[in-house]
Amino acid sequence: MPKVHLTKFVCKELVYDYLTGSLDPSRREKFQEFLNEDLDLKKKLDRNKHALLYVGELKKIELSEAYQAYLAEAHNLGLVDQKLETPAMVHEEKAPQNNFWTDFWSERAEFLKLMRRTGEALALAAVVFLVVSNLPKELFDFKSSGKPTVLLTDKNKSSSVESPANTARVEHEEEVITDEIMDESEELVKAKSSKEEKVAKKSVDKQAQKNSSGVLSTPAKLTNSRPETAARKTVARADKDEPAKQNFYLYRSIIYVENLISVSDEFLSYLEKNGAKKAGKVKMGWEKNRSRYFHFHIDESKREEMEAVLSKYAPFRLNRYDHWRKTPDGKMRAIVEIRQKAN
Amino acid sequence: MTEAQVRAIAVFFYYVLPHELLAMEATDRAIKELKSRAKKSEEIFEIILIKTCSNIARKKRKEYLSEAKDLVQHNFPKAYDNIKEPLIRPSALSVAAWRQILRDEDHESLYLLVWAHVLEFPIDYIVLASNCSHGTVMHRLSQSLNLLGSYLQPGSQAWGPNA
Repeated sequence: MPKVHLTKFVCKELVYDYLTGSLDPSRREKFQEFLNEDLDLKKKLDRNKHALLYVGELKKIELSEAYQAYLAEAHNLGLVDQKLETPAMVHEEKAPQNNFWTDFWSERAEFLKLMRRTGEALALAAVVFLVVSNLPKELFDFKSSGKPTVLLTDKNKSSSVESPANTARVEHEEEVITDEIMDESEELVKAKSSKEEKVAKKSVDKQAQKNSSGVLSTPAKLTNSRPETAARKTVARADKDEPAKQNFYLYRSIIYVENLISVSDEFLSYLEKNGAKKAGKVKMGWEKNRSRYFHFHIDESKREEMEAVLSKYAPFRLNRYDHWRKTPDGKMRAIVEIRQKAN
Repeated sequence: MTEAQVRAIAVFFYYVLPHELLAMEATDRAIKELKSRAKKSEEIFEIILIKTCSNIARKKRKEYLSEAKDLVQHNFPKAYDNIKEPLIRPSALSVAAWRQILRDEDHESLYLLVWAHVLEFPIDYIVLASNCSHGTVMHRLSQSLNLLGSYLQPGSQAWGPNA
């Protein structure tokens, strides 16, 4: 048997194990050796023995019949008729009870769980479907990735007439400007209609070629003359509606100033004095995130004067961009954003 | 739920709560909770029983302390009035020492003592239910038994089984 080294201190910690008989024989032997020598250890052991005896008495307590009957009645336990079991039997596996409904539901518990899970999954799918079906269709139009989207970034910059490099302070606007969403959607519709017209034109040309080669018989020619006229009509209508051949412009710029409120108030009063009218959906001088936004129409002659008003505070120049929206002669449309300069 | 399990619940609360009526209330609550939890959980029933009863005991003790130990204001069910003595002790047994230690000392180790030595639940179940290591549970048991022994010592805290 291997010899175990035990100190007095460790022995004191092993009193409980000694009493419950969970010490291995070598440690037990060593513990008994210390027990003969150490009076404190012996006292501790006696205390623990006494406590164990007391606890042994505590477990003799029983439930009164009245209380047992109450519990059985209150919780439908059926305890009174049951055979009394010793505590050791508590942990053994119990025989199944002959309760029809308990058996019925316990047998089908897995099935019910599956049904519940399926129901939850279906409900979730329905919710997702409802949400997705209510989203705008443009979000799912992946094929037209080359076409203009609903979200507006300043795409006219590529075709700008003047270089924005002239104004050091003015930065390219990269944010999405919400009140121009409507303009863009109109642009989208227009692009679509022009595409349709092109398709119609192509079909007309093809038909004309076929007719000239004489492949088609007379009734066929007659039937095909209808789409030709329809196509012509659409082309004519498209020509009428197409003002984009003329050049129209949108002037826009951003200026960073130190005193946002006073500058923007001054600019607003200047605009009002000079007969500027708001364009877009928001009022002139609309506040957004430490900046103020001016979208307006004004006489084109006021352009330089307007630039001079704002140039007092920082280098400022309006940049001109091509835009499909028609502006009346002598008028200009501009978007000016005055932003708070970072400290 | 078997009779022995119901007895274990009632006895546990009788020993860890400071009043019989509180113990009866806690027993009712524990049986209700266990009935519903046993259906949902796949854990061993005895482990659920230990967990549930220990949680309820903690809450009840808190309630008792917050109500400044004034049980007159507490609305116990009327059915309790008909039960004069819910648990019957052997005539020789005095629980005075136990009540005293319950008032003075930390409860968690005493819960373990009741589960392990009064109700004789397997240590493994107690270990699983208390989320501690085996060694920790054994150490706490040893400590609480030693403490109880010191209360029972003749002379100092003079209570014994026959006091």
